[in-house]
Amino acid sequence: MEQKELLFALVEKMSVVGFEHYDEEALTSLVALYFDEHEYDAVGNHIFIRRCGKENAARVLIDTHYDEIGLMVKGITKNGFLRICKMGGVDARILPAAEVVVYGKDKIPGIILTKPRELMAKDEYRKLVPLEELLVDIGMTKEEAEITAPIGTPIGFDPECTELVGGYLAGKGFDNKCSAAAAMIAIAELDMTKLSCDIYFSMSAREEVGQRAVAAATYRIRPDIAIVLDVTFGNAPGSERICSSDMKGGPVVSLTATLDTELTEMIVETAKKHEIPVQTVVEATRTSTHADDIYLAAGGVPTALVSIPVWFMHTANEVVHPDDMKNTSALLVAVINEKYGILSENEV
Amino acid sequence: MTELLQKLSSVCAPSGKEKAVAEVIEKEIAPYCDSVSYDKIGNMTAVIKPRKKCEKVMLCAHMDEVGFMVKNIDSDGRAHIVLLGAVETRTLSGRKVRFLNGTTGIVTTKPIHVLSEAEVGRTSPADKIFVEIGAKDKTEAAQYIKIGDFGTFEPKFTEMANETYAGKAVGGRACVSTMIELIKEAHAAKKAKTLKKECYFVFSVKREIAIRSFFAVETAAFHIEPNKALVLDTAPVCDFLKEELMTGAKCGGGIVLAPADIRTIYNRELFADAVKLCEKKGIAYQNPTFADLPGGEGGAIHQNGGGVPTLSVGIPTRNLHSGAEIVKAHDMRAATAFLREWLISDQ
Repeated sequence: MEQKELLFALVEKMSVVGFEHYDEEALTSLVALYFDEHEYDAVGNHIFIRRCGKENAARVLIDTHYDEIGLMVKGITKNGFLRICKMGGVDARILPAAEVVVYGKDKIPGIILTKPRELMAKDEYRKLVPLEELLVDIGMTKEEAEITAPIGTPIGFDPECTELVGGYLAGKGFDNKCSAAAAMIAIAELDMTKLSCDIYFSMSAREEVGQRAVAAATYRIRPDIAIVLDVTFGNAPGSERICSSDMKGGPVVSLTATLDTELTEMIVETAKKHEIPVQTVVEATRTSTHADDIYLAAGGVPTALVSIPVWFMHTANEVVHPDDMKNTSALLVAVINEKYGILSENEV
Repeated sequence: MTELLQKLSSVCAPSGKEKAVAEVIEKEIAPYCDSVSYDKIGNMTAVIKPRKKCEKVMLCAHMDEVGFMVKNIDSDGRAHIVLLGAVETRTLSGRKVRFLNGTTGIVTTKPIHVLSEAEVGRTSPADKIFVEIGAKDKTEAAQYIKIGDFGTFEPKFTEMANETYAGKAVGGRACVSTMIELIKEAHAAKKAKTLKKECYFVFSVKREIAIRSFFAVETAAFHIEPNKALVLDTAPVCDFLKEELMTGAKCGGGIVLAPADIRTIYNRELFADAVKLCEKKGIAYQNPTFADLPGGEGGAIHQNGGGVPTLSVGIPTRNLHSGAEIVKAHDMRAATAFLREWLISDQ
């Protein structure tokens, strides 16, 4: 599958944080063909394994969290509207009039309600609507809604993706499915006969509510090294305040005191050697990604963090450039080959 | 009905650039009308009249929608836009928009992770709205958009449970589609020789940018000189919030017959007759008062010439002027039934 198709296919899978099992079959049939084995653990992590077939092979963990931000049904009003709560750091400013999908008994469309400008008090438009006042219209009565979308039903954003000028892609859940697509393409490209490591690809759960699950996957795998792929802020008006990166500037390697500095430096060196565009960002003490958790799990794992720049993180239209995904794949392939490549008998 | 509404909703026609939707409407109605013409400012008037001279009735629904224009393009290739009409600005952050040439853009929004303390809990500033199209700089952007270009919300039609429809411009286009249905019925009545009124169906322009008394429909009324007029428009609805915030109108409650809005006290006789007609024919209606709300095109029509008795009929619409307005088929059917009885059937 091509990169764009793969990304869009992944985005189509419902994975609101805590509901990573929802499209399990569809996800497995999409991802498993790239791998030899698939495990699904007790806390929602999907682990896919590609083996090199050699004894005492090293274990390389490539982690991309599979969950994404969303909402959940918290109550139903007497008129059949759904009350909602956030699942992860949804940008509340995008919610009024947003198109959503309610994943209840059936998948049904819904629209978040908003007060018309005509009926607002002066200056009311400046105020953010508190979440407890936001309701989802699904066109149903209370009785119908209670059956179709009972309390606890997850709600996701409309999964339709769009292509913009200059090849940019836009859609929901690119955090972190653009990393997953990049990783899968890289792993599929590896020639396992020439490697001395097994690849463990974790599409891990519950990152968006504070990295609640990846440690379990790490204990299960006990990796020798780990590379975490996530997204970071692409430069845009207003986001310069934090260290952010250029769109189309290539993957972003985090320089940090928290993670393994040797592996991090090796990744940057490899990018230079292979002439892969790469950027760096300093996140001195904490990356707020799965890398922090994997690093200390299972007795400690040398870990590095590589991110893909996106615009409008945590909205229903996150934007990524395919070149950044391609270069991330290329960097991953180069790093694994450099570190675990073995010469074939002919070459010896 | 669904198909026609979806088709109309998907056409991008902001105030001032109504041609695309006018073409779709004209194609739908031309076979049923005696004539279809445009006045100098773009209002479309379709006429169906019986052989004998009789009372002239003007029915009006606006065909434009809220949208935006490109005010400037910055060095990063982002478009600074200004809004056309009372767009619900709180719905803009991170939303897809469509330029009339087909280019898609996204309203930029600062990541929540980097908001300053003062910005937390507030909406994005409504006077600084930027659209990202993906161009790398001003030069590349110029290949796709230019200053003065028009755009609207991205078309996205959603069919929900119980014949509930959502999408951009769905409220206004529900009125347009109701008018189209009515034109077909008026045509049938004319053939059956039961039509007793000269019907002037007006699809007006620039309604969404109407400020004070600047209503483009005025020129149509000037040419028609109707004996009476009826305006079909959206009625803003907020039936999901606490009682005191409501206008009283509900989605699914039937047509909105308001006695007055801020610009017009509707003709008392027409209003009373309309209520009676609904009662007699069992048509769902509701009577909220919009006396304190921005008025519609009736304000321009009823003062025309020597004065025109005018009535306003609303289709209740949730999320008005957002990218996902919501209407119910039930209310559209009530509007069609009412207009049929009011215009065509022998009262």
